[in-house]
Amino acid sequence: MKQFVKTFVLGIGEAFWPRRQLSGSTQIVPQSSVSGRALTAVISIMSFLACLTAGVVYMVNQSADAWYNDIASEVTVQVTPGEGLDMDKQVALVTSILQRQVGISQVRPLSLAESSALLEPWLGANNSLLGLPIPRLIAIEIDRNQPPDLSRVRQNLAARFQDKVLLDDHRHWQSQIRSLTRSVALAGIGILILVATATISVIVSAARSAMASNHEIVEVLHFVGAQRKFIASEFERHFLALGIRSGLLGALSAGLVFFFAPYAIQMLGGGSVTASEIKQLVGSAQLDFFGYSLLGLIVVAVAGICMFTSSYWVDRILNTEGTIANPNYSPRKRFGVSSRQAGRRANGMMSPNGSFAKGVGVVLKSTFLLFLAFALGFVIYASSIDRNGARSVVQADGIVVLTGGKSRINKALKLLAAGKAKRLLISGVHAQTSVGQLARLFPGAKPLFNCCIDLGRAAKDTIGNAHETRSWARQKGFGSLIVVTSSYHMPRAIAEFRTVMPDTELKAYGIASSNVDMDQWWSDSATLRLLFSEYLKYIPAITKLGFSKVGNLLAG
Amino acid sequence: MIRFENVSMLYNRGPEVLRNVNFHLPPGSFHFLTGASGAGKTTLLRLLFMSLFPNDGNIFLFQKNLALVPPEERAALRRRIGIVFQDFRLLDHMTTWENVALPLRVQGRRESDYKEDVTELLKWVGLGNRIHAYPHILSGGEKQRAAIARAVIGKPELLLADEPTGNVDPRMARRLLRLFIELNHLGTSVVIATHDHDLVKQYNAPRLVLADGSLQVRA
Ligand SMILES: Nc1ncnc2c1ncn2[C@@H]1O[C@H](COP(=O)(O)OP(=O)(O)OP(=O)(O)O)[C@@H](O)[C@H]1O
Ligand SMILES: [Mg+2]
Repeated sequence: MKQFVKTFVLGIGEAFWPRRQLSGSTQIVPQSSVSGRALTAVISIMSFLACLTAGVVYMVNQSADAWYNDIASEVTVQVTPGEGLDMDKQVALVTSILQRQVGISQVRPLSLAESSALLEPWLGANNSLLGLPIPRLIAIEIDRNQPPDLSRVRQNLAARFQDKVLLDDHRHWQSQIRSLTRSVALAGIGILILVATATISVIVSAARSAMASNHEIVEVLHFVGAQRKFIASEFERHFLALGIRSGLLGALSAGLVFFFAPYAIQMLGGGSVTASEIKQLVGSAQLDFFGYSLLGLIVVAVAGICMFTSSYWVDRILNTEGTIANPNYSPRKRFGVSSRQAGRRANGMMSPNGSFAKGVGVVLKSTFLLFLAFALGFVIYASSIDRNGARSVVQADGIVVLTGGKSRINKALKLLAAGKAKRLLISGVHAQTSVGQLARLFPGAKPLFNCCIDLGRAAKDTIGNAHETRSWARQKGFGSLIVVTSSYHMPRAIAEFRTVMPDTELKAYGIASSNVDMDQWWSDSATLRLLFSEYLKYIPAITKLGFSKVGNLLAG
Repeated sequence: MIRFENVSMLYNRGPEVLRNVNFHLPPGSFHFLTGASGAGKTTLLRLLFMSLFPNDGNIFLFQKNLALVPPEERAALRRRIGIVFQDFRLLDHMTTWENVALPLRVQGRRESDYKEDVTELLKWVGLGNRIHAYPHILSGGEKQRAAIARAVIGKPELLLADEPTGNVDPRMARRLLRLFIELNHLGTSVVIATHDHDLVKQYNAPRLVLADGSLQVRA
């Protein structure tokens, strides 16, 4: 402990007064061998990048939180006009009731002018409107420390004013904003992890090669009787100083960037990007106190990594000493004392070149593994696709069929006729196609078209199908759906639907297509091409589903 | 003091440098270690200060089996040994004086305690005017003398010298030999690896002769 404190104090001293020497004699480990320009530059640059990433992620998260808080703490109450009601009085009454409510920090009735200003986009600026009965709004701000029971408030108001006073807490928007902000946060954390990994590995390998060049010193020191602790502290001190200095350099540069970013954006952006737009996107674009402390934290981490890497390599050199001549030999192991040394078997010192080659090797290997996983994934994907289509179907609230083949709609109509569901949505119908035209294509189903079939014309792709289906299911109040599409398209369709409608029960009804030969997909080039392009689209779909699931999970 | 029991040693997949070597050196003894170039003299010395470990057999030093000494205790053991490397191994960024003082410095001793001793020793080995020079400007013989000074400054119990007179003239060789003999009289065991026959003849001490991987002791 004492040793550690000493190393620490000396290291910090050296970081700020590099040339000063505490005693008159030469340093045992020359400082210049550790803090060369290239090494300082590399570590500074990596610290700079890490600080920049951390700062941006922090700011985006901050403003995402701010969006959410803004929308969550804002509630409006709508007072609807009625026969013989004095609106001003009514508004005053509701206001006073709300003011008495615990947990509401501010109640602000909007004036008549303000309320009509909100309607202007729909009704136009017309003075004649003033005579019309316009609903009046009351904005409420909630005390987030002790939020009121909003559903109770809503019920009380509705009961007392016979549904003429409605409370809207933007619940629907809240959940959407929440999942959006969660995704943004997750993506940020992912990027941060990548940058942190890169930073750590660069620093570790830089420190390692600096240690390799000092191999001789470590050995001679040990031969003349220096203890491990002594040698390690000599190096740790220099590396701590190196880490502090380059870390600070990086963090200060990043800090400057953050400090001047708003002005720079204003200057460069000209008319196209206004400061307020930037502000909405990334908050103030300036770090607050906590943000700047985050940069400080990174400096500490960088210094720590430098220090511990050097300490680790002193150990490595000392523990492999003597075994270099016999890589397979370990004295302690031979006597059954410890097998610990077997793991530290000498490969000798790793030269800087060797570690670079190793890095390249790691990249190549992981690329290869990724490729392998990709190829294997395709085989699994292709062979797991349902060959014959579904045979039995259970009951559901609604059926949705995705256009793209006459047989799909035919099957869906049969399901509907068999009474498997109440209504059918044909999603992705061409904008110019009419019900009549469609009905003529399927002569037997004319009565069905008259009673129970809806056409969706908005969707242009699978994602569009999903959104269209969601609004349809919402509108009809359906909680379970049978999804009808080609077998090869089914995995992606289900993934997209799940992402958009996590709470709706989905039942797949796949249809075998005549133009794809699923039994021998590997031998037919047309099938292969189709499946491969599906697979390429399936990967982002399933990834999106995964992210949204994690997001929902985190959102509780 | 030193005991070898059935020690065999080979480098990687090379031939056996030492084969089944057995010998015992009592404390306070003085030995020359001779043998042709490549016979394994340096190897044997490296085994003694734990820079190498044998493939087979046991080495005892100061009553300890070296294979069982944990790495963190090697430093303490080495403080009792003085080593002169055949290739000197001086640190290039330190002056002669600092190189010689290194063993004391790493023990945490205060500079004022040994300042005089180091300077005096350097004068004795003829480096009085080379105190502030850095190794890369020293001649071969001067480096050698600095390495010897570093080995003996800590008054070790065992001195291992690998070819300590290879780069100096006969007069200086005799002077250095005197230094070793004097140390031996003060209680230090000495092992000097050399193929300098003149040196061996000047002092009547037993010889360890290495040939074809085996070792013989000749009085
Ligand atoms: N690190 C090593 N790796 C492989 N072989 C080695 C290594 N060191 C020495 N050898 C070999 O071991 C044998 C003995 O070498 P060693 O240095 O002990 O000889 P030596 O008696 O000291 O010779 P010299 O009188 O020339 O110094 C030689 O054949 C040498 O090539
Ligand atoms: Mg030799």
